[in-house]
Amino acid sequence: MSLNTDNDKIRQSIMADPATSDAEITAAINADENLKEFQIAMLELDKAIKETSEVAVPEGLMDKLLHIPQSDAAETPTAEEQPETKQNKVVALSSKRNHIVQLALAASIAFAVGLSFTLFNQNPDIRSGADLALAHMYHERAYTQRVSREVSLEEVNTKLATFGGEMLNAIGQVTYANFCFFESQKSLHLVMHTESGDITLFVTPKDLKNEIDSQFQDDAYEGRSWKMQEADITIIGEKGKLDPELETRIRQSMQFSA
Amino acid sequence: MNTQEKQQKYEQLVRDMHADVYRYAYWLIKDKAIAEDVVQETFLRAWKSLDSLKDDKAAKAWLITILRRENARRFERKQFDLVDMDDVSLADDGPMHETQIEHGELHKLMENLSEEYREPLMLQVIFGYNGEEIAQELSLNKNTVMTRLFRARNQLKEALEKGEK
Repeated sequence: MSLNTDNDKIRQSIMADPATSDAEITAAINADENLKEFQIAMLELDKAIKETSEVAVPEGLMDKLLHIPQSDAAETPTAEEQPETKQNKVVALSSKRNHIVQLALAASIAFAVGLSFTLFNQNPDIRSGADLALAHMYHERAYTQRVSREVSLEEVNTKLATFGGEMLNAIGQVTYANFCFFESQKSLHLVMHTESGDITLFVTPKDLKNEIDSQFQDDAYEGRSWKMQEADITIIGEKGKLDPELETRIRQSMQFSA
Repeated sequence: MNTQEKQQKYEQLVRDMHADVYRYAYWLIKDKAIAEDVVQETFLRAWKSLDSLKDDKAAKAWLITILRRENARRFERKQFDLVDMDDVSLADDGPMHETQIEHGELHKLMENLSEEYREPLMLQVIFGYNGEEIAQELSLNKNTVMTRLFRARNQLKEALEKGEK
């Protein structure tokens, strides 16, 4: 092997790992000023690569990630689900609401001490899809208000595209749009300001175990849910304020394609 | 591990690793919004299977593996709206911070590296992986990895030199 080939191989090794601690390479570098200069130049390039690689981390990402155990727990129904008749459901929901609100409140406080997973995961009151949707709304309400901002239709559509969906025109100003999880399946959580007040809209996958009733309510909120081509839509608004026309307008505005 | 320990372990993982994991996702995907989504899914999976992480020192490799799998899953979903990543790169991303302005050209060159060169380079630069660790993560042999690392830097070096002329 000629000296030049040796030299080329060492340069290649330096370029593959400028900070190499390989004994043979280090010895060769120490014995040759040119190689030493070359290594310094490569270390400088690496410093620039490292600095360039450090792109800004999106604001709020850490908060969203820290929030995952809470939202995951809130959306995981208990294993001992029991069938419930439609008739007693509305009544049951009303009496349950306080309990769920208390749990949600406790969970927000417990967030800091890391106990909410237990609270929600063992919550025997959450049995139906509608319960889950309401509990989810209650649980996230403080959070969605805290991080409220004007979300563009374009951003909403980027997220909807995951479900093959598109919102053709805005129903109201969207103030929150983030992926969430229903039964551990990726869903979308929107909050928008409409003529019917602040509305929560969930886009959930089609194969949820706990189907959400087409109409549901508790003491303070009412909701509607319907199926679309590639996903299910659920809206929740203040009781008595949720305009039935809103469903029609959302149906017309949203399109899903396979 | 009880629930409180699990929660603490998870929070520590988020605080220690989220920036590097996001940056790696960014360079893998080259789109900020999609990278953020993939990072969220990565940490959801991590939370769900935290019990399987026995050795805290392995957390980095464990998260990278989850992230690469979550990223691959994007392409398996039938509804996923496939877009040409090159068309949605950083063209209109608002003001860049100082380092990015300084290295604006390098940023573009790094984005334009082919994925097979960019990925090992980012594992080495962001996470401080050595050749063997990269080989293991990417299921390649070490010689291939070292060749790709050499070619990655060589392309960057040549392009920068060309730009200076």
